[in-house]
Amino acid sequence: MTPHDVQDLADVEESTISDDERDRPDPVTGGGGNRTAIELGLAVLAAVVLVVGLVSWWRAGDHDAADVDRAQLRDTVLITARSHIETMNTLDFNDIDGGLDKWEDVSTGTLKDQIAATDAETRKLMAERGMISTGKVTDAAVVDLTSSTATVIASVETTVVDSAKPDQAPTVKRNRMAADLVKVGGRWLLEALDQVAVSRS
Amino acid sequence: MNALLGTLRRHAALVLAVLLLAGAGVAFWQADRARAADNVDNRAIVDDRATTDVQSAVAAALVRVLSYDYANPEATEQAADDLLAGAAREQYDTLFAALKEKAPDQKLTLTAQVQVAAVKELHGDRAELLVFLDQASQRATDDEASYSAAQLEVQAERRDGTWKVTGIEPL
Repeated sequence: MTPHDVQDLADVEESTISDDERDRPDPVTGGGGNRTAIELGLAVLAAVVLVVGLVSWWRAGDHDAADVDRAQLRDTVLITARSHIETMNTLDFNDIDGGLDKWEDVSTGTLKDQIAATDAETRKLMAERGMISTGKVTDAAVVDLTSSTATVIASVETTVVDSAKPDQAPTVKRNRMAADLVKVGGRWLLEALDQVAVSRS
Repeated sequence: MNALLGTLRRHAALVLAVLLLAGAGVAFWQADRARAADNVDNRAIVDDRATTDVQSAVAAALVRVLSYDYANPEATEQAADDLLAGAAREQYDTLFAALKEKAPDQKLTLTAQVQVAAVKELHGDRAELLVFLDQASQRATDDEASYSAAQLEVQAERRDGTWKVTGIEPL
């Protein structure tokens, strides 16, 4: 290698590589370019790995979203059922029509039809009994649940006040009830509400 | 110092790659943590299989423990040993002692039947249930059994893979 050649090499270095490269101890032709390309490739690869990692993180956030939704549905149904069952166990003789309207509002299907079919005579009889019933669900749980149907059991405490005997302590009844609910037009409504009777087998 | 800066600048792409990889590491680690996190607290109904498991285990346990035959009190005693724990166990011992005393004279038998059991809460190895249970009791002097309808709040705990009843509270 003649001094001339060395000068030439230096010229090449000058022209293709930036100022930063000048303090490089051993400038080798072409090596810098290759190395930069490899390093750039690594950076691109690392960027891809980062993207995969970020996507995985983002997805992991709702890994149990379906379960969360189902838990939410269960809680919604339970709260609605409790409220509806209380409504159906509540009736004031002063306002039989209003009470029955509320029953109708929380029911559907044959149950609703039955309530709606309560004739004037029956309503009159109900009013004449002079009772004020107030239902309270002391405990309840969901037995079955799909996206549009549910079965709930409830322990119901019904307090009955006889308006004819204001001095008498109210009677308290405890009933075991089972309710079937269906989702109609976005609302959960009672399709059936029955006492869980003792089975004499 | 200048030399170091120079080197870093020359290998900017490599430095970037290392930083990106570090970021990716953090992302994967966080993804793992997020996946391990349980966003559902109460798994009743949500986990169908676990719900059914505890439901049937508790129903079966209650039937065995709350049935009694004066001629064979050991069966009930054994059931209590196997299936009860904690407060329910202590409660039961008191009840059982009284029963054992009077049952032979009356020739008393109790037959329990679970109408429906529903899981309210399920957190890993702990569960809370609402149970509607019928109990028929018959004395030798009775022509017919008398029935009682119970509403029970039942606590259960899984120990060594078996669900045990730890609390029975009539509502």
